Amino acid sequence: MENYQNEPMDVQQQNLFNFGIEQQGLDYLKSSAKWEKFMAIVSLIWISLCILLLIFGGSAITALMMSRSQGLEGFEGNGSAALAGGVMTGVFIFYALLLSVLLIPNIYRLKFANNCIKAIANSDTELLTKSFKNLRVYSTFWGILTIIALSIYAFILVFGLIGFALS
Amino acid sequence: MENRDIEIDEKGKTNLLLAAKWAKIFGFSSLFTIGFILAASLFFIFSNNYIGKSYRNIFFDGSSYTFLIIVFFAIFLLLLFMFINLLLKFSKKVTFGLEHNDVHAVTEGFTALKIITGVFAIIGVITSIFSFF
Repeated sequence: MENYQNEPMDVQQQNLFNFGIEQQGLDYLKSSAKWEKFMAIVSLIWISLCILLLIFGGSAITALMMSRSQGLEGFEGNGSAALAGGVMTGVFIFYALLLSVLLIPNIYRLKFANNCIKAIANSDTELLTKSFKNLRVYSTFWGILTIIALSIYAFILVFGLIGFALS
Repeated sequence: MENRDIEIDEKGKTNLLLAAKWAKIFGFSSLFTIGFILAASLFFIFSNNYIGKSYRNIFFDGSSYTFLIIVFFAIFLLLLFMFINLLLKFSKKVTFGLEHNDVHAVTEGFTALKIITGVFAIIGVITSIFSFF
């Protein structure tokens, strides 16, 4: 407490808002950050692998489909095969983009974990604030994504019920 | 024992409060989604239309698979509810702790966060290993 007497008024006032964390709380936070780091790395690797699989595997499947569909009924012209190939490519690109979006929260998750571990190790309040900012972005992302998903469900439900009532 | 070496400053508090708020929104949205999917599934299973009959033929044909499917879904639901419960606990405790300067409540919130990350990291690893086969 004596240290605060030598600090300027604005620093003293700022310290009034500061919040000390229990050692046990810090241990739990550190443990959470370690697991989060591990999961973020695993998720990033998995998502990257899936994107690579979609890009390379997808193009191979599309090429195979285009070569197989030539000469089949309904795919007589080269144009039809190209169209089918184009649609497939579009689907693969869509899924690759969707997966790329999932990279974003995991990057923030990793940032939160790294900053949190460093902040606790060095007793760095500023770094801890930075880590909580990343945690905030990470949870905001999932919150917004869930709201969007719920809105889509509601949309489908409403249109399904309208369709059911009209049929 | 309070550690005065490291503190949450005003910005950190705001960020943590917002993270807790979004965690709460995510928790309740997930709860609503699960409830909705459960209700829809039960509706389809017991309905007397084509979808209901197909459902019953596939999942409830009286074989040993029926039991396995029920056990699998029960475990899945239990884990989901556990996850949501802990997420809501984290949000509630951290928000209360930061708003009322209650260090113990924040610690309880961090305990919930630790369980969420620990348990679900292990589940994630198991799922990742099994997805290879």
